[in-house]
Amino acid sequence: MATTPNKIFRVRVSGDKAAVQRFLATHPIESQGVQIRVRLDLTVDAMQREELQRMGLRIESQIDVHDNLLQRRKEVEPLDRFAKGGIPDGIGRLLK
Amino acid sequence: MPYYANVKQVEEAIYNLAAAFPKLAFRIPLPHKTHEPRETSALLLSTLPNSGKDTVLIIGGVHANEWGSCEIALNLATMLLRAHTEKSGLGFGSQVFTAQEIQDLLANRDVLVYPLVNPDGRQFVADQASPSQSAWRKNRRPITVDGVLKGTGVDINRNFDFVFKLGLFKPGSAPVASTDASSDNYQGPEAGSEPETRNVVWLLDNIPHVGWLIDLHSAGRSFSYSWNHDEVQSIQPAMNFRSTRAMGEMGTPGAANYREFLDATELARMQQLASRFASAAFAVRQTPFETGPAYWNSPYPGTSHDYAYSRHLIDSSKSKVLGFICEWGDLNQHPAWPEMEKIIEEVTAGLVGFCLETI
Repeated sequence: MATTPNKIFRVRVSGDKAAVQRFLATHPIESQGVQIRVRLDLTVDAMQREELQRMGLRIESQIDVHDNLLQRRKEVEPLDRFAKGGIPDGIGRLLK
Repeated sequence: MPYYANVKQVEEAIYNLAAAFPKLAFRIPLPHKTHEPRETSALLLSTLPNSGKDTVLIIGGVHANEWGSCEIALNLATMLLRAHTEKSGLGFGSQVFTAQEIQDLLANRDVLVYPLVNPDGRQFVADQASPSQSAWRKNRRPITVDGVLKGTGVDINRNFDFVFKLGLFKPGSAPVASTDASSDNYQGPEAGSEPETRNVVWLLDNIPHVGWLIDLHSAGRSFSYSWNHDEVQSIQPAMNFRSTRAMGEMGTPGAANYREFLDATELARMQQLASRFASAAFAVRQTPFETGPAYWNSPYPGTSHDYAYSRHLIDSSKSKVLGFICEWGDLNQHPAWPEMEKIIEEVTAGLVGFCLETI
């Protein structure tokens, strides 16, 4: 089934070492790679996802980059929280 | 901190922490303004500045889209300052550090955090209304050649002065750096060309006794150490990046004629420190972090952690800095905030464990 070419995903794929190396040999990772082990974390468009599967790599998980961006924009604190001298609350527990 | 901080808040938080803990926290303004231009600061946690204590340097926000790293660095500073001042222990999930451990940590070590190395890039990502540039990772300096714009931005973690020349790498080894200014991994016109890079170098040059550098990135759940440009070997000291035999031979996995030397004792020490990070982080919510030398399959030139470790090998007058890179998070470089809070807890716990292990 055809997919929308312009949709951008960040995916984690896995496969045996040979499949990973085959993929890397034909795809310069400078434009997509982040963490390269036997798993790959890549930013790919929808068409490339099909190619990954043809090359023997299994998609473990994926994120729609656009949805992620929209979420991020909601989660940036817009106010000047520390403008009057406050400090971060800190995440974790103080133990007396 | 209920949400991701904006760029202005990061700087304000540093100012305010220094003001709130005047005997324990000291703001260090960095000398090089970014392109847009922005000034940035680091925060030194020290019970006695300039007393010769060894220092753990933690940097974040090198890559623009990897939000969360600067929040981790700020959280570490906040929690250490509060716990030390109130003579409290610290708890992160089921990982507990006693009050005595926190006192011992800052009695024996200074901790220096530089939370947001690349504020221009982070602001650019925050301003994006479309997905096209949401994975931006570089800084924002226009790159021109003879007055012609060739691209925008340099990948700061390819711009450090360590095996910068791609000709050092064996043809076909595909180093993860580019001389093309339009590439996401553009290494810059020369090593150390960017103000963001020079600010990190400035800290290494000017803060005495930095013994460890940890560069926070995302994603992959790993805590790795040198080297990142080739496989590690501890048998042949002469096989190293300073020798002429390195030229054109670096970066190929499984190659017998070139792998990078790393002293066996220091390799064991790096693994010991990485393991302590991983065990402390794991205790928070049973999330495993992979540890080991950073290289796998493809070489990464010009990285901060390899640069930090290489300095004393190139110039014996410089102090030895063990270099580490933490890739937090599973896949998402910007997790939903509730998940990011959990990551902040586990990585903060890992960093406290790491600092204690250095003593």
